[in-house]
Amino acid sequence: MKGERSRLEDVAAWEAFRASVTRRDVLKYGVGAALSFSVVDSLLAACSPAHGTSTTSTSKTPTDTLVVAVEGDIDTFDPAFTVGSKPAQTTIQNTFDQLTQYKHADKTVAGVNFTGVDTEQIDGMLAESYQTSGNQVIFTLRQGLTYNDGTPITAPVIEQGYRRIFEAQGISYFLLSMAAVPDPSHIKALDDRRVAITMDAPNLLLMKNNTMHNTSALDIKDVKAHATSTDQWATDYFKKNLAPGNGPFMLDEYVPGDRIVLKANPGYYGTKPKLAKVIQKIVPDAAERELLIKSGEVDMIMVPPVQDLNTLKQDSSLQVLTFPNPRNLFLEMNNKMSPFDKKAARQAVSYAVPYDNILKDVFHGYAQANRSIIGNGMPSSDFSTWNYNTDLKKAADMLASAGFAGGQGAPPITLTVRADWQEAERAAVLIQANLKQIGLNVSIQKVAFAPFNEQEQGRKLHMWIDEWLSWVNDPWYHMSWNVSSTSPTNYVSYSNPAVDALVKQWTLSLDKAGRIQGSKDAQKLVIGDAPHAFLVGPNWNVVLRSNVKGYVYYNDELNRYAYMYKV
Amino acid sequence: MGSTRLLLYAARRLLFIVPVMLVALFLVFALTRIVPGNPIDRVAGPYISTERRAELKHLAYLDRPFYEQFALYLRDLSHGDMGTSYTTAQDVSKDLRQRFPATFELVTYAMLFAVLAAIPLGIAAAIKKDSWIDSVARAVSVLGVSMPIFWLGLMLLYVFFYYLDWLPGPVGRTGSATVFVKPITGFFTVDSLLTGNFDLFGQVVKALALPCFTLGFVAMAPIARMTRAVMVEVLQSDYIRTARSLGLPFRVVVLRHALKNAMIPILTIIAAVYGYALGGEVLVEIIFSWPGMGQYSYNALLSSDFPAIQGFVLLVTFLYLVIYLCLDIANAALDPRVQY
Repeated sequence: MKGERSRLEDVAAWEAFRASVTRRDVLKYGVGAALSFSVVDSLLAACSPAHGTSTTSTSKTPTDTLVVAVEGDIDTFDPAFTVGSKPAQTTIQNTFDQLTQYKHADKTVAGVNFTGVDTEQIDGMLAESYQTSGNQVIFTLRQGLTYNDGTPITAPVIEQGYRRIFEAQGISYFLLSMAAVPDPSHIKALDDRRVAITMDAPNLLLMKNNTMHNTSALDIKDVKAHATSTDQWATDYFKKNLAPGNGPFMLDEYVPGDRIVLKANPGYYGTKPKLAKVIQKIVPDAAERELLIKSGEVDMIMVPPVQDLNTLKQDSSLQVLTFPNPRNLFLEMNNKMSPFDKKAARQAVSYAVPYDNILKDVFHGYAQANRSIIGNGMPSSDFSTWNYNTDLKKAADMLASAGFAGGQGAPPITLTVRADWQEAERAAVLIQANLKQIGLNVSIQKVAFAPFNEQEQGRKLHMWIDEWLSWVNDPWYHMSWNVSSTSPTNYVSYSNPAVDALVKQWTLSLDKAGRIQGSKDAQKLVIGDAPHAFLVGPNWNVVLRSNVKGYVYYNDELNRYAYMYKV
Repeated sequence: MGSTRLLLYAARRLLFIVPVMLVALFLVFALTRIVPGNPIDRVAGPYISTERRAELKHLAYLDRPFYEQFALYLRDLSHGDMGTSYTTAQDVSKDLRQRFPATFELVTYAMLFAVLAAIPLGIAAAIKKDSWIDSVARAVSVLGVSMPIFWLGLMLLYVFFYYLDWLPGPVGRTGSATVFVKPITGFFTVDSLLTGNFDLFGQVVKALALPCFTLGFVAMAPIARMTRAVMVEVLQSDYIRTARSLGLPFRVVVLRHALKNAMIPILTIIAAVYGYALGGEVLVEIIFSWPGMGQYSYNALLSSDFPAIQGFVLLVTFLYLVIYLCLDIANAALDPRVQY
């Protein structure tokens, strides 16, 4: 009985419920439920990342197109002047060939194997061959060379291109004059295909310096077309316009602040590039570049955040390439300012620097110990005379011997770092802590790029962090810039007549063994004088999608897209 | 008669723009020269001779006293010459022309989103005071004002690009596109449609979504707040009560009578926010690698690129003043009590 009654009650309740629910209610609640499901679904999706480190993502770019996230914009398109912007240098390197180039070689540096270049072996490029005789090098051009606007490249055109290099007085003028080629009269077209470069003194530097993108010869017809009465060599014009090139790629499009697009040069004389297009997207923030490569939105990034490299290595859709190179990260001390005008004070700082902590905590192992002005990977690098292992007791003793016991009498020190350089700031904090322990009070000052530049070039900084990588892998090239007392880039104002004498003796020498020994002698002197503390040698790091192949490491760290391809 | 007076008023206001811009220009000219940093060192690099360095300084008038530099800049400006940027080596006017469409497109769509979302939200919050929708409006206002714009941008990127992979990453105006079109208007949404490139249109819209929402969300806050506050006041006024007692439909009362009266302060806040966004969306452009004026001015500041900074300030001041002029004219049209 009880059961029957209950059933009747249930039926009545169901009928009442049906009567109370309208079609509109069904629709309303149905939509609500659907929305709720989609929100929950999205939240669940959010909890399982599309590009997490444990999963892989797929590349979103076409196989014939390489998309590269680059760090900044173009500063100038003039090969004679590109110094500051890697994207500008890379664009010129890929759109212009030089007379000669380095030979590719399989290398091992600091236990890392990679395809790089042998900087002692020079191959032809625009020149099919060259012959050295005494103080003259004669280059024979390939037949049928043209710029990509169709203008033939002949020896007289090359001669005029080099003439412009001297007259415009950019960086390339320095490169040639350093190699005893001081003016345009030293470059002559012998006929249509042969160009002779004459050195005031025969040397080994010319053939190395002459491989650099800065020595690209512009088409003189184009230069004349854009010259003005006050600007005979059209330097203003070529700052903002890329001249017709002769390299494997040509400029397709440049949108300031956004992208630099290259396309394959159909008339290229050499092996045709496998990539039809290279899109260099300007993404200044390193963390954002990292996100883009992880998602497959771009195929290649440079200068990734070092602290994330170990995690990126776990991602099977990526390749993390790291290249130990001779780059110096310096703690610079102004040798003309107290207390660093005393050698013992500079040595005290060298003893106080926490080298291992900087290597591990700032660079996470993506750097090498650096113990000399000539870093690991450059011929003649010699760390044997370095003895500044971190030792605060010894540092304090050296400071006392400089007359600043416990920091007494030493002026407050300002350690300046560039505001956009996180690694330098982290290293500065570690250095500050150690110097405090020996009694030196250091305040850290972060400044923007322009004032940093101005103060560094004006020799106004007291102590600061900077780095140097020589594009030419030659110890005397490197020392000419960094330790010669007359160098415009010897910002610490270091001066040692014995070092100057060695620079003068060996920079232009042909004696290979003597150059190596001379370099070791100079390194010993510089290490003893401690004009800088050699912090570490940061690696060059590149992250590629796993389907990108053919990366070749050059000492100037510029990408050569002609060798790269996708599978 | 009325239109003649309006034209005269507009002409007077246009003339007023000149002294304001001169003052702004003088201030920025003085400030850029007080802060340390010399653009010539960047251009010249360490390699050039002292003579050439001095020559470059001379050509840029930087070896002259401040007042002379300012007078020479004004002289060049009167000939339409805003100078040459030290970072791009281009005429500043050309740089700004190239970058303005990117900023204008971003800010315009962001403001469109902000206005279309904030005004209905503000109205609804005012009508349903102290209800859940009012709480939502208040939450949006508080979040929009208090949330750092860079944080919001990065979080949105993290969720919608990195985790969900719905939208492109911070690669500028064209997203994942690998085929581009030549700019016609500079508005990529328009250009891609004009050229029939619908794939690119889709990419452009997707690329706009996150920066627009980031900027729009922050812009929404003051507009929603102002709309709510003014509408609450207006809805309590006597004439609204009268209109409702006469039996006018609620929709007509709110939209035709209340909103029209509330529009003057709302328009004022929209104009202020629009002007602010045009000159102040630097962080959004940096986060999303957006090639607009914000990023240009940021790089110019870091490089002490005096002509570029001056050009940027000049343009933004001009835009601000034009927006306020349009606002005054709109106010005059909306409110018959305004005399001009």
